[in-house]
Amino acid sequence: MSTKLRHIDMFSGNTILGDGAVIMIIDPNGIAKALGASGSASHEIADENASHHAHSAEQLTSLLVFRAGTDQPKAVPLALVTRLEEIAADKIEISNGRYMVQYRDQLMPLVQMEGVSIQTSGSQPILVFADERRAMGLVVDEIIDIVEERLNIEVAGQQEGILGSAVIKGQATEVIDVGHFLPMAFADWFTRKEMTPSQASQSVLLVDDSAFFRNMLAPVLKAAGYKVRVATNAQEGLSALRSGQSFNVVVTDIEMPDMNGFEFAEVIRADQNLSQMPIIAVSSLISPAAVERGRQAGFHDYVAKFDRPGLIAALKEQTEERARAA
Amino acid sequence: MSSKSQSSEGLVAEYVTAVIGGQLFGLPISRVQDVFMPERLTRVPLSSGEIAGVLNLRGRIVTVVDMRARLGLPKAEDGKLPMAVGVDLRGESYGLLIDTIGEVLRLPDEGREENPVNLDPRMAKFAGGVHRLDGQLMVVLDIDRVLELLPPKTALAA
Repeated sequence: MSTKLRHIDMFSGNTILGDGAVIMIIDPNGIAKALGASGSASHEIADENASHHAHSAEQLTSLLVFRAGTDQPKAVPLALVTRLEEIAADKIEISNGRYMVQYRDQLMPLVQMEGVSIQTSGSQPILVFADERRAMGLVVDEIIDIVEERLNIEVAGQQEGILGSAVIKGQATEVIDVGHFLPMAFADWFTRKEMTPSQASQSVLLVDDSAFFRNMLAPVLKAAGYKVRVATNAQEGLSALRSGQSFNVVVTDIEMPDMNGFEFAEVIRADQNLSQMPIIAVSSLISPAAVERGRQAGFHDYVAKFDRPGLIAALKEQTEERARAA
Repeated sequence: MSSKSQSSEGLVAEYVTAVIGGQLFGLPISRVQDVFMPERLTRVPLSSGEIAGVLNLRGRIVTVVDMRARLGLPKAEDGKLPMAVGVDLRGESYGLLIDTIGEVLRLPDEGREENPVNLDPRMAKFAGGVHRLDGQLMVVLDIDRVLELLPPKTALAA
């Protein structure tokens, strides 16, 4: 981005769209920073809504609904999708017996779901899944919608690549298993990242009173392979911990009304059933005094709220230590 | 770097002329990459008022500077579409919005005069001297100074 625009935190960069127009890319961290200190007040309404939802056992997930192969709609959690693209059919090439497309100066393999044929003219919609270095495109027939739904898989999948069926927007929808398709593009997708699918069974309890941060962090954790349950305050977090559901690690905000993160950690430490639970603090207030206070309260790690890679690293460290100790 | 060439009259510099708010300006031709009609300009929220937006010029993202705003002049009211002069600064592309583009003039360096004391201070900031032409004054635009755009003060304070 131009040096004349870099002072604007709200944007992480700009890019050229397929039709030649330039767009600015929003940086959610910048927006969060701008909301910053005054955020809690303005989030109250959102929080009320969120706590309303939180009363129901299941939580809402943004789902991308699309059609591929069959007439039945399919869905994938939006948090896992990096980008949606429409690629001109004539840009799709065949190399080494596989469909590829030149995408952002790299060759991106295209993976077809069963029954999907690649368009020969016009544009081809694809879902792009990417990590730091590589990207793969999942070829679909049509992108239908993005919906917020409780993701409740009612019938387990019979077919490879389908997690199962869920009711989404009143229609039976197949939820696809992204983990099945990624290795079809790069066989070592998971092993290379030292992120085996079995790690996906690690579950995280995320406690934050701000709906904004819950919405920002939960998809990040999910995308990193964790099961996430969110709680809107420390009390709700405690009930979740004591409900019998097992968690591998707790990630909690510090600045919360009623019971703050330090007190929450002290209560967990004092509970004989939970005393070994790793707890990671995420806070917008990082000072040596706060970190020291966190250590006394029993936190294993203390991460800045905007430091998403730091949070993932801390989570990995804590969950792996547990796995070794077990 | 300026395109000065030796001729019988001594050092000569070439300028692309442009009119902004009724005033004739000369841009050193060595700094001018191209002249184009700005199309599909994307406004950038929160940027300073002097930045008109960004656009795609043959695959490069160009930051477009509104020269009227930069010179503290009111917006054009005649409804005519502005033109843009493409310039580079440290590897980045900029487009300067002007009212109309003129011709290329070859002017002897010795004809260039210091900024007159009565030059509008808004122009004097960016002027690298003047040339007296037939019946009008051409202000030599110092592109580097024009592009010394600082973030708005509010952003610095934040």
